[in-house]
Amino acid sequence: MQADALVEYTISLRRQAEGSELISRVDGRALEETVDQLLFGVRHSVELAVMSGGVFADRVTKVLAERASLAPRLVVRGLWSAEAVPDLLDLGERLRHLRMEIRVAEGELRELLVVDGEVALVRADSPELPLGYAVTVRDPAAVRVLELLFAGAWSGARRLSAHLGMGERLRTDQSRAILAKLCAGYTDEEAAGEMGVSLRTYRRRVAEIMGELGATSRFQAGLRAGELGLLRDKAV
Amino acid sequence: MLRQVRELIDAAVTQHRGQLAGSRLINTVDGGYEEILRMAKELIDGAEETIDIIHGRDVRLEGYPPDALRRLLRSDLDTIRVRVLSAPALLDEGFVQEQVGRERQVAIKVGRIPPIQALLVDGIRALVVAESALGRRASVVEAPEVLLALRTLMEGVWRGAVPAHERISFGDQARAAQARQILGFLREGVTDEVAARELTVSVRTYRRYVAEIMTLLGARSRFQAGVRAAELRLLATSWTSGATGHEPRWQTPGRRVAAS
Repeated sequence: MQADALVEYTISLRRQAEGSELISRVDGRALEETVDQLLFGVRHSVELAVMSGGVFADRVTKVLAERASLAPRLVVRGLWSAEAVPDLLDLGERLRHLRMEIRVAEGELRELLVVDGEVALVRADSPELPLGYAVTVRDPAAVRVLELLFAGAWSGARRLSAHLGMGERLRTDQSRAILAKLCAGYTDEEAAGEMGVSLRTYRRRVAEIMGELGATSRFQAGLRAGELGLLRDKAV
Repeated sequence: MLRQVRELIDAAVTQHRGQLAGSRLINTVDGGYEEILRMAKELIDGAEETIDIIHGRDVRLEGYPPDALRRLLRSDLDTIRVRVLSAPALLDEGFVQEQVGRERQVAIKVGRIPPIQALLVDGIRALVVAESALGRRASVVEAPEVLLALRTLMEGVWRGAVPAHERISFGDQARAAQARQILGFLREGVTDEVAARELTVSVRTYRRYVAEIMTLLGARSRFQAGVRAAELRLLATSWTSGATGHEPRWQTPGRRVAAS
């Protein structure tokens, strides 16, 4: 009985505080509860950035799937790092109940949740805390800037379907080498010579790459390869 | 059960500590825009290593001239890495020109920037300005986690932005419109024959137009032209369709921008 009262007291202490502060920090062990609180009564929008298939991604998607029917106009945008995509596919069933448009980001991300444009949660790791911690931000300027920068990053990211359709064959050393030649503007003859293959073989390999990219012209291939970030390795 | 209780109390205490320090981690900047500029100057003057600026709001709406921000930057910035990320319509062209010939240039890129302003100094302090439903809001942020999130998001936008001196001008409005049309054909993978028919020109003429565009893009092959078009964000991303793709970004017709 006493334990229950104590638990109630700490929960109310936190709830009281959470409405008024511009920023507050929570131990990672309370992350799930914090996510629940922040998503309680969500109405309009959720922005979510995920780096790994951990507790954060799991809890947010779970709660959103449960709340989906309560918030019919809710728009959820998810930005996943490429490494976290395999874990995302494990969530398959849950995602079916959740209207979320997912895109895949190049490069680094920080785990972030923005709810109704009013409050943001930033997850962080810490050497002292095994589960890290989370920072809740209610400062209007900070939340708005995080939300809008997220929107910018999200709109520039590639759609999940595109990412999944990219194919491992485009990432082999051979494909990379050919893409580098194409990108550097080599003629087919020059490239074949340098790679020590016949012109016909080179053109066949280029055609295979174009097929992987779903491109029917060289321009299209260059455009898609560029957009998919396949040419980032080239020296600029 | 008791362990659960203890954990909850620990968590609450940790949060409480965060609140006590809250006033240092984020502080609103109250007052008018001059207060924001004053704070920006203070942060810039205190910079030691890096200054990153995101410029997505028109300061003329605040009653200030477009080069008001340029004046905040000290002249002795040679030891500091300065980056400016600007919305195309808000770009301070004079500032871009000023960089030419300077030993340590301010890196200026143009991209699709949301309507915000942000100033990040040395990775430890940031001033953020944004419109909200309740009007303009500005705050100074020193919370490391939020700064890291801001920096990471900014890097993402920076990566996709175009260097100011690399923007392409296709000439007058008519030529720009035609170039846009041709790039559209190329993106769709339309054959030269079909495209020429659409434009009611001969195939040879069409190929000449394409060659001109390729020259402007600095491309030796059609593949390279596609890559450049992607780099310069000249086309909506071809993997998407509908309203969620990018809109093409075009130079103001008639303005020549020197290619570097």
